[in-house]
Formats: sequence, structure tokens, C-alpha cells
Amino acid sequence: MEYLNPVLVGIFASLIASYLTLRIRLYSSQKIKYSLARLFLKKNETMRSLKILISSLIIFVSGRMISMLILLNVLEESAIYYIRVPIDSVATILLTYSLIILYSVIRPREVRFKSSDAHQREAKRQVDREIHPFHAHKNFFIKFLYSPLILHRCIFSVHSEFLVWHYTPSLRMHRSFKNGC
Amino acid sequence: MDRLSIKFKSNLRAIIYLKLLLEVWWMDYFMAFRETVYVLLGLPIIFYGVRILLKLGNVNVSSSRLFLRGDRFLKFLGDLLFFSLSCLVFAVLIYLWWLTNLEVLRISGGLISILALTFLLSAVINLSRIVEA
Repeated sequence: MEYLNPVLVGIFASLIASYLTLRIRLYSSQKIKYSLARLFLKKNETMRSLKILISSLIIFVSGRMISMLILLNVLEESAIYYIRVPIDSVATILLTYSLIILYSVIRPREVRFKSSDAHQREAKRQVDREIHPFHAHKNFFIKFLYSPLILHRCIFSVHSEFLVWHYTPSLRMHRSFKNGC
Repeated sequence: MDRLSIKFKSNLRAIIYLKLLLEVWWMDYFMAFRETVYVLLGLPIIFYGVRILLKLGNVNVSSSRLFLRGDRFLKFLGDLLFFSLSCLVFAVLIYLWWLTNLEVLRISGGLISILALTFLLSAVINLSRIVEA
């Protein structure tokens, strides 16, 4: 039972916040223009999340100021429990909420075509069959595992058009749709 | 021999007292240093935060600036990521300190919390520069 203490809540909260920020950072660095365009198009959600984020940071720093006041004996030590802990909890909840909103805005979506389901299934099957697994898998760790293979191909491939064709899935998708669909 | 042993014991006692005193001083000095840095970093964070909140009132202008200054927004996100990772390490160190009561963990946790606040200040300054004219 001695392993259970309130600091564990902080660890889990930090873990969630770190995971969300990592995903947001990865998505935004992989597709910069796409994520910025999504931020611009969903401006109300973006601004709401940024406002909540900054408010949470201000509340978090206010909590640190309360600790300073406790250290200077302006506030009594029990203020940690009835002022600082609620402040830290509110800051954590607001931070997580704002990161969830930002994550939902930036997260890449599936491309939906205005065509029948069968047509779309066929197109998706064709794209999945032709596109390299590096582009097909969305999991970052799988991408990480494939990166040495791609580096190897980058070094030893001499056909420039093949490289362009291979590393631009959008162009490739466009070509396959143009030819097949 | 007796005189020597008495001298040795008194020296040992003096060393132990000195060590205890230094530990208490170190603890108090570190706490004071940590809290001073919190205040020094916290006041600009609050200042920039209020400025950002005021600037974010105009949604169209702010979102356009966010779109146009994408590289700086990436820096903001990177600083936010390092801030949250530092907070995670800080929380783990404080938890370990709670369990083991080792002063090293408390001091390293305090230093990492200062690092986290530095990243936070950098993130807030970046966001402030994005939304500014």
C-alpha cells in the first residue's frame, strides 16, 4: 500500500499529456502543410484549444506561486492540500482537454471519395496493393522499422523517376486512379 | 591514548554536526533557489499568457497568423512536448523520492522542474510571437 500515493496521479496525468503532445508533434511534423491547413480551417476549435491551453498554463504557474507563498509563511502549510492540489488538478484537466481538442483537429483523416462504396473499395484495394507498406501502415513504430529499408533503397536506387514515384504516394495515387479508375 | 580517542571522537562529532548542518543549509538553499526560479520564470509566463489570451480574441487574424507562421508553431509544439516529458520525469523522480527518501532524487527532480518551466516559457514566448503583429 505504500506504493500508492497521490504522486501516482501526477505520473499518469503527465503520461497522458506527453502521449498527446508526442502524437500532435509527430502528425504536425510529418504533414506540416496538412496540419496547418486543418488548424486554419477548424479555426474555432483551434483557438478554443489554445485559449484553454494558455489558461491551464497560467493556472499551473499560479500553483507554483502558491508554493512560494507557503515557503515564505504567508500561507500555512495546509494550503498545499486545499489550494495547490485543486489548482494542479484543474490545470491538468484543462491541459489534457485542450490537447485532446488540438489532437482531434490535427489528426489525419481517411480520404473519402464521392463515389459508390464498391468503387471506393476497389480503389482502396488497388492503392493498398501497390503502395509500399511504409506508406500503407500508419503506425509510427512500423514506419520506424521500415526506415532502414527505405534508406537502403534511397542509396542504391539509380532510377530517379522510380524514387519520385516511390516516395510520393499522392502522385502515385493520382496515377493509379487516372489509369485504373 | 585516551586523550587521542577523545580528540578523535570530538572531531568525528564535529564532522557529523557539520555534515548535518550543511545538509540542512543545502536543503534550504536549494528550496529557496528553486522557488525563486519558479517566480522568475512564472511571472513572464503569466505576462505572455495574458497577452496571448488577449490576442487570441480575434479568431480570423490569429488563425491566419498560425497558418502563415507554421515553422514557429512547430517550435511551440516541440517546446510543449519537452515540457510535458520533463514533467513526466519530474513526477517519476518525486514518486521515487517519496518511496526512498533520497535527497538526490528530490534535488534532481527540482532541477528538472526548473528545466520544464524553461521549456514552458520558451513555448509561451513562441506562441506570443506567432499571434503578435
